[in-house]
Amino acid sequence: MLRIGNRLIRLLKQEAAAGLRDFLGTACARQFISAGHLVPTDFLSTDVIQELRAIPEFGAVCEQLSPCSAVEHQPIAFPTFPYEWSPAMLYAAAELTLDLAEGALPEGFGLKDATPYNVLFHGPQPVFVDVLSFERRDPLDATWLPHSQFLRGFILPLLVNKQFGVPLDQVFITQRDGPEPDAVSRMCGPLRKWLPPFLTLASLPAWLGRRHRDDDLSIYQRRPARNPELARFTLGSLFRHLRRLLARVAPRPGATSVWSDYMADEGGYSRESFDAKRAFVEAALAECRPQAVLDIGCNTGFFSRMAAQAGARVVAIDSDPVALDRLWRAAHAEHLDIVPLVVDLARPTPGIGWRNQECASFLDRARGSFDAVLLLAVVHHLLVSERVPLADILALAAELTAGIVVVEFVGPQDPMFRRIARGRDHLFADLDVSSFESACRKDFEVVRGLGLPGSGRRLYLLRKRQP
Amino acid sequence: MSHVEHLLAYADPGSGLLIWQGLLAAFFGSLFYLRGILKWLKKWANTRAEKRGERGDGASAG
Repeated sequence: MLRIGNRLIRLLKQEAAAGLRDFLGTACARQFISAGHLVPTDFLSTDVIQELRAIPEFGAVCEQLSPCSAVEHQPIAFPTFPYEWSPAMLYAAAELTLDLAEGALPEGFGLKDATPYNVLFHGPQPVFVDVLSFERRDPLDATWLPHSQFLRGFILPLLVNKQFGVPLDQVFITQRDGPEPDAVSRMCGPLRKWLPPFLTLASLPAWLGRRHRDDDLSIYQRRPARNPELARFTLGSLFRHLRRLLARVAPRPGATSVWSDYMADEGGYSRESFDAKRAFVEAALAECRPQAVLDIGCNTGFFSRMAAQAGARVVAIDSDPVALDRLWRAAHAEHLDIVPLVVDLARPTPGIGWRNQECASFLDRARGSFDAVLLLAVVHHLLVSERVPLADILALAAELTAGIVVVEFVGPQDPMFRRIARGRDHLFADLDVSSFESACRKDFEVVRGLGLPGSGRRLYLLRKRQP
Repeated sequence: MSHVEHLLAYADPGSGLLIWQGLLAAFFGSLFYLRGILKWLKKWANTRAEKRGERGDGASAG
């Protein structure tokens, strides 16, 4: 896969290209693409490939695969990974995978992979991106080869998240493919491991795995069914079983957390103060018309929704997966272009995989991707709880935005500041409006500021200084 | 030898789920045949009922 400018091009060997061409020619593939479930993919003509050969990287890969074909995928604006998703997003990705796997069967195709890494999010909509996962199925094949991968990548992470509160980032950052049944079984108490769903999802497979002789390779041999009708019936039953399992581990829509109801009373602001804040942000968005907005510390996404309704593509990050679940459900229902991600700016997702390069870090993906950054009611948390110097916070904001920052100053006299400072106010004695504005001016021009009525908080519209 | 022993001690984390899928497939496959048997029984019972009905009509007409 090569990124050439804004284009995403995949080079293929001829045999892979033939299979893909067959699949893309089916009615189901066309339907998946038009519904936005499968990434739009087009074959490049030999003339275009010849032109692209002039690019050294392209030419070199083409030589290795020669003769080769090439397809172009529609890029997804902001790639994300399962360890950054909220539980509702992982559930949606699981549903999509099953829908595609079953939907392709009537035309003789199936999915050979069922990993969450095959799904990205276009706004709140999951999109399957690995088109090469589709392959022709043997009509006598009664099994779904990626069944185990689906259980480990979707069902077991959702199960441990729902039952034990294990965050998805802890699951996937340490275990790329998801937890093993043995590990899940060991999380259970002595009674629970013998009860559904743990019995069939974890304990029994773990026991079967321990009893299996490692030199017995017969389990990897395909056993064709006696007739296609039997194969179809068995496969259909297996998919219905997986859907029932998935429903059982579905995240609860009404879950709450420490911060999930923060905006229920407008974040503790007075009505006048909140209205002034809302008007300031609205005016900044209307004036600057950003196309891509990063909302840091978005909570349930009040201002993310405002930016999306103003026409921007929004990436909204917060450390609270429950709040982000709510935002995702709302964005999905209202078709707002918002990707909510469980990312703590103080500890953003690192580069993962071989040489820390298989999956790029959040900051590497974010730099240069936004023309507006919202830092509303979050800087004081980074200052006090995470002990990040103000200059560093603003320097990072300058890296992340290509245009503007809307930032909220919360001073040491503020009740929330004092609450989180826990008696360490003296450490921030030098922090006031003047020092804050001075720090902003290093990388930004202060376009305007506004004191929120009845509160010591101030909002600023900053514009990044151009070199 | 110790390298071979190390290999034998390796437990494939995927084998348990694969075996479990095989057992599920066998179970669903047996339901397929059971369904066929039930369909055949139902058809047989309906055929008998129809024949009884015809004989009963014939007897009353005679």
